[in-house]
Amino acid sequence: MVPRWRSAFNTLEAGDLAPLAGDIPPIVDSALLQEKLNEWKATRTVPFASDLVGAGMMSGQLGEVREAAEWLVGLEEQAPLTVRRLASQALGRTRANAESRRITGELIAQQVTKVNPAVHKLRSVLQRYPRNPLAWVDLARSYASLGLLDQADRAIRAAITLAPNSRFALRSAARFFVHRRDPERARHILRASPATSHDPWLLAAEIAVSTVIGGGTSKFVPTGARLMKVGRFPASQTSELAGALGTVEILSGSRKDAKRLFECALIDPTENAVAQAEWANQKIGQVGIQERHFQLPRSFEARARRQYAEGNWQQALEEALGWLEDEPFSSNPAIFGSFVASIIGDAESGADLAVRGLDANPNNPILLNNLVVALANQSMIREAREFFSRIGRPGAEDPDDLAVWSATLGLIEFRDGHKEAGRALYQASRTMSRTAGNQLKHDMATLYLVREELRSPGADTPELVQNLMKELQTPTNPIVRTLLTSVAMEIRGKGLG
Amino acid sequence: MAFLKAMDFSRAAGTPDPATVLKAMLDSYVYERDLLSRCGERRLSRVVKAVGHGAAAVEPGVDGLVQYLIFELADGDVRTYMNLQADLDLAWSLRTLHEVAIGVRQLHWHGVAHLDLKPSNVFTFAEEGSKVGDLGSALEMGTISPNEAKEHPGDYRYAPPEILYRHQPPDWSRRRFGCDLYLLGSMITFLMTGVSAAAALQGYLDPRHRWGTWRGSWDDVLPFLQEAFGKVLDDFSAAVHPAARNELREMVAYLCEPDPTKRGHPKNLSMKGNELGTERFVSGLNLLASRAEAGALK
Repeated sequence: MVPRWRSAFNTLEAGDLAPLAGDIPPIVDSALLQEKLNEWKATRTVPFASDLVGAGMMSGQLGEVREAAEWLVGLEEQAPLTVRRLASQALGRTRANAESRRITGELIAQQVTKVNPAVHKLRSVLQRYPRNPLAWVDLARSYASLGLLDQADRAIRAAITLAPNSRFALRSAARFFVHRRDPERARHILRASPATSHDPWLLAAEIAVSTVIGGGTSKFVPTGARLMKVGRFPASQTSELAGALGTVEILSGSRKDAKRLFECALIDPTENAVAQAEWANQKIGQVGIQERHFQLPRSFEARARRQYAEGNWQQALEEALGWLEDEPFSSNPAIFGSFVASIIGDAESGADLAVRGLDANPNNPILLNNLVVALANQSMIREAREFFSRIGRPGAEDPDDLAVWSATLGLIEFRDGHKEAGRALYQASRTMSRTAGNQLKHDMATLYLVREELRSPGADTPELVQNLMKELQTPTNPIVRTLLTSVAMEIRGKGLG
Repeated sequence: MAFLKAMDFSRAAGTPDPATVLKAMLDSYVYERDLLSRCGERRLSRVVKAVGHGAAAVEPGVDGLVQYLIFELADGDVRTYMNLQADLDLAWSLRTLHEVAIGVRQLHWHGVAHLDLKPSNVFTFAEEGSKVGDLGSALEMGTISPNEAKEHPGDYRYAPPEILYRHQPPDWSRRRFGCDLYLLGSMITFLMTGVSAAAALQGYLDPRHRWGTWRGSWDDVLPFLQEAFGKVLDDFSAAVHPAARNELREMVAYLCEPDPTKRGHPKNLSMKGNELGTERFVSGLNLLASRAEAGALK
């Protein structure tokens, strides 16, 4: 349950940066404005008015400075813009910061193909004022979304140097280094900060990263468990910690404790916790997910997985698109979405998703495979072979991967008119899947072979198709059922069934 | 003619513990009086001089006694002479800032932190220019002041972020002299744009991060303060006369840096023993002011 990595604005809006209840109360300033009010009334000049309004803003006494603020705004061009802006803010007429951050946040969240303007803007911001950790993190995210991991690495390190104990910087860095396949670095950064041991959000991140690394549980699990037990923080602040601890329990086989923890995680959850609960639900069942949980803003992953589990492929695809917009650097939504697209035969969407995923993850073999499948299904054989050549042939020690590789090449050969070669490759895929005990991959390879045989029929096609279809057991898997329905229609269409 | 600052001890009478309040007021008066006396002996040319002190009985009894300090009379404070409605008098503003910076430097050289530098405490004199005044919140290194117990003796409405968010550095110099650096930078922003640094920063903060609202850690709010500060600097740049823009922006960036551990001129920050030095700001402002007065800044 690694932290989400969103722009600073979206992370703030999601509530992930809510402060823990502080012990130190804010300063109460009881200084009166009367003297400044009197001075302004006596002089009626801009400096006295702006000094009064500024002091009023700082002490929260906006009612007392209203008249001066109105006067300044009314001066129009006779008062400097900075003073009029201050006055407008005091009158509640501008939300300069929220607006500019929203625009930057949306810019960051845009599709990969549009991320370059975000890079340009952020670099410009940082050139003018380099000590802005939020901008460094957002820049890292933009670079990561373009697959420029070295640049992203430098940016995220700059952010951590500036803000070594910031929850936002630490969680973002953790997510980046996991993405970069360096979870040990993620854990090191989290452990180096004294904030981690008493911030449930950081504890959750450290425990999750340790889970990714494996080889034993995190040394912070007892600390996290203690923090949950003490009950000092509201459920919204401990949702991800509960989810991370629940994940540890699932992996160590303790279903009862896992269910209890996920119940806690789901009281007032983040969408990340809901997504993790959905994963847990697939593993151990009945973790208490309710419909309301899927309505949380940005709950794309959780909804995508639920739709997938229920066989609602089009909806799953739509949620995958939202998920990719939310995490443009991650391969997961693109892999998920391009695979779902292939199930429903939407080759165009599959190719689009795979390409976008490859922008950020150029050599991801699964994305390359899914792109090849989408291209081949659109009879773009030359392009399919080009991308296929970038996938290394898996070794015999990876029978699952080898089975997929073989089936994909089989598709290319069929579409390129090399029927015998295609058939042999699909048969090899089926054999390898069966040997590896992967019924799903076996059934999928069988159905795809049937489909290709129907597309290039020969004298032996009816018998071959009949024999292959007999092999298929009564499918319970929604993927196989969907493919079977589609293939059955094609068979009937050819007058063979 | 002179300016008289009187201490009204009758205020103690209405409090639950008049003796303690009275003692605190007396201690503050004595501290300020003695500090001013030392400043006078040191001939700090850019600090408003106290020309006398005393006590007068305005009513019978102890609470009718008024202690007073007499200061040289200014023509007004800096707000009286600023002109933001017409074209900014750049030369005057820069020279005023130079004089304020000298005042701060003079105080710091003698181990005194002002802590309440704000427009109403910068006084203008027709013949002599501007001086820093009101040492009622000041602290002198190595002395015991009744103000030392206060988190911030000065006016919170101009204070640097670490004071507002209650995360002051433990080191006395960085805490106190660092505050003065911020306030000096705030004087630059006020004279150039009419807005203090603190108010400008507040305007760019999400309401959840404002100092009256935030209840979380300093480490978690500082990045948002720095992000807002970047926008403050951009606004400042856009508002300042182009001829002085780059230099003044740089000064404000160094002086008003929200992170107190990084505040100051970078060349000073790397110099052990003078991390919070003001000399570069004094000379930089002098250069700008001289060029403006010579008509070279167009």
